[in-house]
Amino acid sequence: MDEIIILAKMMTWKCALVNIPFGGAKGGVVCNTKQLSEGELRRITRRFTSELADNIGPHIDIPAPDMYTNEQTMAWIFDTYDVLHPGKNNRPVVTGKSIEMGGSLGGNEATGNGVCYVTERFLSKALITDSRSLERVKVVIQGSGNVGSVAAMSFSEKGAIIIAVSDSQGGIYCGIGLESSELRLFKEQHKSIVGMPNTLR
Amino acid sequence: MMNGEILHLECDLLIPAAISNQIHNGNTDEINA
Repeated sequence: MDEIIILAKMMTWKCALVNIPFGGAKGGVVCNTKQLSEGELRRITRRFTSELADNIGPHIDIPAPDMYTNEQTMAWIFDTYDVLHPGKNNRPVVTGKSIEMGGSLGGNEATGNGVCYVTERFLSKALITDSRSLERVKVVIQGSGNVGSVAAMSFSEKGAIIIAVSDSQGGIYCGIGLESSELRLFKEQHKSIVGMPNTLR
Repeated sequence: MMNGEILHLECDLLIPAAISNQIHNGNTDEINA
């Protein structure tokens, strides 16, 4: 619950600072999504959306995906809301939709890429002595989800060296640098980056 | 290496891209970024 309260506060500030009319709230369900079937996740999401009732809406408050939620989750929220509010264009009720449902290109990568862009801008202002760009900069990333994995790709493309990453199962290290595309592939195949060849745990 | 221990590694940039509150009063002395 504390996590959601913190996220709600941050959301309030973020939306207000850049004048986006998305409100300032967060909602969530306390559960371990990794232990739930797709059917269970769908039913939980639909019931959660029903309980939210008219506290959300295209002109009221617009849910966006966060931890352990994705395009599928947002599609379930939209569909449930749409059933409860027939005859209207309800697609704007959620962000983070798939492209097919009217979502935005680059939405999945936005936060991870944003981390890299902001860091690059920060360094370009010479706020850290002797580091004006990301070239050859050694980077450690805690997290390999939607943000961390995309950030790793983005930093690598800018010439940084990813020396360590982690996920909920643990961390791996490689002093000469990890290949971000191989990291993503290994994670997709094994559900964790731990155990990737030629790395130290 | 545990997930939290990665925060202690020597590096130029440390990116906390998991959940919030990973860097706090109790571990700032161990950050080597």
